[in-house]
Amino acid sequence: MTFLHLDTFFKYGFLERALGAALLMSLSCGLLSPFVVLRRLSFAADGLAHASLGGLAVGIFLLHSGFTPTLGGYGITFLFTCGVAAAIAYFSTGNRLQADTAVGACFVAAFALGILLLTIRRGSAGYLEDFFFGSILAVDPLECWLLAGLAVLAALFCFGSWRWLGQWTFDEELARASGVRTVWLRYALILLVAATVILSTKVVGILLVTAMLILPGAIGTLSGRAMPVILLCSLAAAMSCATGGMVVSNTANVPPGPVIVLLVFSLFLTAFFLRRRRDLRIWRQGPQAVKEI
Amino acid sequence: MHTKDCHVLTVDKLTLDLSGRRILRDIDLVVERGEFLGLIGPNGGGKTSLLRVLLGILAPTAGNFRWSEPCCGRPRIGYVPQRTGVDRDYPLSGLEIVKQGAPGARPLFGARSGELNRKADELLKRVGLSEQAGAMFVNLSGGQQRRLLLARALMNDPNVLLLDEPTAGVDLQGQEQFCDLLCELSRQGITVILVSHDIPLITAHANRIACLCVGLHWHGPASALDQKAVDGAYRGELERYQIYRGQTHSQLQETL
Repeated sequence: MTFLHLDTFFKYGFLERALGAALLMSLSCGLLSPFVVLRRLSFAADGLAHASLGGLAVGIFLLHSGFTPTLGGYGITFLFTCGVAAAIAYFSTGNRLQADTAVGACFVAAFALGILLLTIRRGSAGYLEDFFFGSILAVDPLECWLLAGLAVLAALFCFGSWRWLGQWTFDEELARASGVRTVWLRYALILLVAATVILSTKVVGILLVTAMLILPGAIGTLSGRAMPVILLCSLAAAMSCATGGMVVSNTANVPPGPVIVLLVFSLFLTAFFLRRRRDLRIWRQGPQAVKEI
Repeated sequence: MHTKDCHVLTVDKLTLDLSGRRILRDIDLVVERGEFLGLIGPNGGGKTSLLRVLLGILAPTAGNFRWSEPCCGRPRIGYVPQRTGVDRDYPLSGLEIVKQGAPGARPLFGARSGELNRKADELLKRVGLSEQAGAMFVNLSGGQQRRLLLARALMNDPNVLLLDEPTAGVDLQGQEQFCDLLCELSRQGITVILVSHDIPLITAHANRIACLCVGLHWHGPASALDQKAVDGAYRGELERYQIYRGQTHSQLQETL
């Protein structure tokens, strides 16, 4: 245990907060990720992560502050990102535009606005590195509380609308025909993804947060044939990789964000090849191993 | 159990416009409990749109519709769509998809899991898919997917079944089995509204037929459907769909 330096996490407050923040972020991501993957919102999640740069820049511009964790700054970033999410939803509703076209168009515009505003306010560019790659050791108690609140909201959304989410992931029209309010589910999920993206920037940065919103769900869908199993696999992957990433980072003195993402990617590869191996084994065993379908 | 003591659906002067185009015009229709109604008509004739209005997915432009009379209570509606937007890698098994159809099901917490599993197993057996309970939806054939969706719709113990071309792309034997199952459900008191282009099949199984092409061109008993009625809906473009009354479906297919 000394090798892993686990005791140091509880010796220093900032390390304790960093571990807590990583776990809380992984809890939210693990809960939301299966639905992001099954509803094909992966690109939307990535787009929102990039669009949040625009929100951050607007926050810095309006509040004349640096990349400091203030409620006002988070509020402006959240409102901006929600505005981008609403624009994506508007453009892609009905037959107006394909969803990926709408996401691509909106996130580059928001990203460009962010770069423009940060260039105008010279001196803010130094905060970009924190924004892109995270600075988990600088997480403060306010951010931990915000992440805890987000995890509670994600859990309420997930378990409170469990039945409807299952129907929605299968087929949107069929779910609507069964009385499921799919529009509300879509907006709620997008808003939660936006909040997760914004609050996770300190932990893994916007370039890597998308991985935490996609890979755990992908691991779940490769591993399970039932929603509870998929959700549990997603949660286990996200939380174990967050803990493992923090431990490795602390031991090897490397940034935790990339380590967490590389760990969850290695789990994804393992799940993928295990699934492939199983499929190949069934194929090699011949027709008698395959149920007639 | 084939009771016809009350209307389960009353459609009154229903009109639907979408994107500046009239899809349905002044539809008047009454469907009775336990009835097997076949909806036929050309592509773009408004059959699917009518089902979508009845399901509450689309709002009518004018007119209205009312589900059930007080004696029947509010009906539970099961729906089998024309096609699903399911991804190629959608991971859930057939059993899980059928369980999704249960009202108020929360299998995550396990309280009703056993009961739900038993009911889903029974329904899979009923539609002949017991062996495929563990298979992914996308690995099933088109006909098996439709039967799985029917089992999913039946999880809700529906009073009314709306089916949108469930036999499209299904082989002849599969079509017969599917429609026989619908007839059995109809005899048990479930109202069945089936959209299909297969006129011989639908005349062989349904109690009543409605010919729809924007407006309702004809409706009446299946045995009374004649070439004139079909021509009215299909604007005379459907020469190969001659009506051969009194023949079985396989005889009709041979003739055609």
